[in-house]
Amino acid sequence: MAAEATPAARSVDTEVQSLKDQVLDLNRELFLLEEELLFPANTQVAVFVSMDVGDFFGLDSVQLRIDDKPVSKYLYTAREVKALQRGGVHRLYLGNLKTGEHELTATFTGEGPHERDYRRGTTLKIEKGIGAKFVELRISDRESKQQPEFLVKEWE
Amino acid sequence: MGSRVAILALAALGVAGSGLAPAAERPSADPMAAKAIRDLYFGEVLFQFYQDRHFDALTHLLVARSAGRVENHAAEAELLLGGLYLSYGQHEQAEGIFNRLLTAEVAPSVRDRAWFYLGKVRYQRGLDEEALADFARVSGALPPELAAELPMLKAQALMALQRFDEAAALLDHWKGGGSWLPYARFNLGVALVRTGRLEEGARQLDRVGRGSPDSAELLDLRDKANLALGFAYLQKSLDGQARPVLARVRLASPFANKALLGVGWADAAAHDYRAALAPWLELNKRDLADSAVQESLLAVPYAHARLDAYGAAAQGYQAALKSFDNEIGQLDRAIVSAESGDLTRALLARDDRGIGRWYWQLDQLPDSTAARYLYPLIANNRLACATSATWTRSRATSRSGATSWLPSTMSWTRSAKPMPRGNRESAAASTRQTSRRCAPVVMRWPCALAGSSRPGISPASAPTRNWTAGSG
Repeated sequence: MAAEATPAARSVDTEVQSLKDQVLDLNRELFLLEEELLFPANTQVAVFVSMDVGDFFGLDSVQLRIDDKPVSKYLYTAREVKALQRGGVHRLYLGNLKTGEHELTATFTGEGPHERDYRRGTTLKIEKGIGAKFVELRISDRESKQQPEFLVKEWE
Repeated sequence: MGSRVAILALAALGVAGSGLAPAAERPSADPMAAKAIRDLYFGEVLFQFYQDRHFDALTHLLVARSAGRVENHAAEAELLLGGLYLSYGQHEQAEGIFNRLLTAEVAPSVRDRAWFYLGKVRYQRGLDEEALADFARVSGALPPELAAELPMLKAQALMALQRFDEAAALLDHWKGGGSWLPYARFNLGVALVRTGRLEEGARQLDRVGRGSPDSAELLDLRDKANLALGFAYLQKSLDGQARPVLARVRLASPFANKALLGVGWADAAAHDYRAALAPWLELNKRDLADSAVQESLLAVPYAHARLDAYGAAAQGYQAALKSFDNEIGQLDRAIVSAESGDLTRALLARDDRGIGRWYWQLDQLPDSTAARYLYPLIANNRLACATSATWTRSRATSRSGATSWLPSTMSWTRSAKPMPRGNRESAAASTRQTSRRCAPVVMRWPCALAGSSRPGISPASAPTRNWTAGSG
């Protein structure tokens, strides 16, 4: 039967944990640095997608246009859709905008109950200020049952 | 296991693993108020977590905390962080978080699962005292499948600490059923044999050894039980009882080499050297990296000598010397290859888009001298779980522009070659040398090779036979 960890094995375990801490710290620092350099807070805009629907909606894709320019088109895998259905939030787009008014247009496609395809869109005017702007696009069926639609919320 | 650990953190949120309440139960008229998520970036972490992308979830959570983006989910984020740390093997970080957060106010089921998984991770790393301390904090509110596993983990930790009587007492009252039972019987058998209660231990091991399992893992366990019992009999010079038990081990089993060696010993002890030659000659044909095969190179000429075939014996000893010389040379070259990084480059030379990704696994050994030693090293359960490192080229190196590789974790020292029985900790110790030189990238070994259970009776404890010609 294997004996308890020798001092050497304990030391290896401690060193490996320390090594992993370094990896995580480095990753965190690099992510933060990348964001600060490429998407500084005064111009940053982030758009998120979330779902609040019953089990009968499958999401295929979401497209995003800002000021009539396409900026993102995302195809969702079944796994990602499941993660959204469980309450996860997907960061669809991270970019930069000048201060002032901008128009944001989002379109989602998917399959609803009775295997009906659906396509919905929404347009929103946002005012970009000095700080970072977060917009949540929620695909929801609350307002009219079994009919998905976009709800949009701006976060500070 | 990692998913279940982190899900327990979500239980503290009041959010079941299955997600939000269905549409019909949402109380509020505000369409945006139904969600429990109050910080978008916490939701983003959950998006990664629900896809089992734990490293990404961990990174994103650390970033979000640093940027102050999960203030409204501070406690939940902390607990989730503890679970994610644990799934990543950072048990010290996880313990710190659990100690801070798992207070009396937290539901017992959440606390118990946290301590259970913390203890299990520590047990897998050979930190048995700490594991027992964690298990002692479990109050009894575990779900049935974990409650059944807990006594077995405790017993295994006790056995690892040489506290066999306590382990035997614990397993004597084993009530858990299902797939844990053969393991429990095996471990109880080992514990009883170790405490000198051979007859009782043999009964347990024999039950496992005669079973009709329906899975590959349990078939291996059956072979292991027969091997353990066979060597237990050999240790007590009950060679006649050892032989039929060892003969039950499958020829293609991972334990076949040692079983063949043991069968030969049993025959030799009965002075039937001609019969002993059969298994030993079969062993001669197998991979010389295995210690049982190495021993057979001496055992065969020994048997020849006992059969008065001195010419064949002399030739056999000379051939053995030559083979050992070659093997030592190969091992030296393998060490050089590992320490210089050549082995690492050979491992990663394949044109595989998965290389560098967290999910990449090595599925074919490279054509390299050192590669043949990879399996027994990685199959060392303690080394695989203690290091459990992950090569990641993508984030750290691509952003830094540097390609820094952790040199191989397989530097064998001269004292460890040729992986003598029971001395595998030497290989683990040698990783300290390489980890000091590393840049922040680490290496992943497929955990499937590590095996799922810690070793039982080691034939290393069997007396070493003196194979010099003329000895009895």
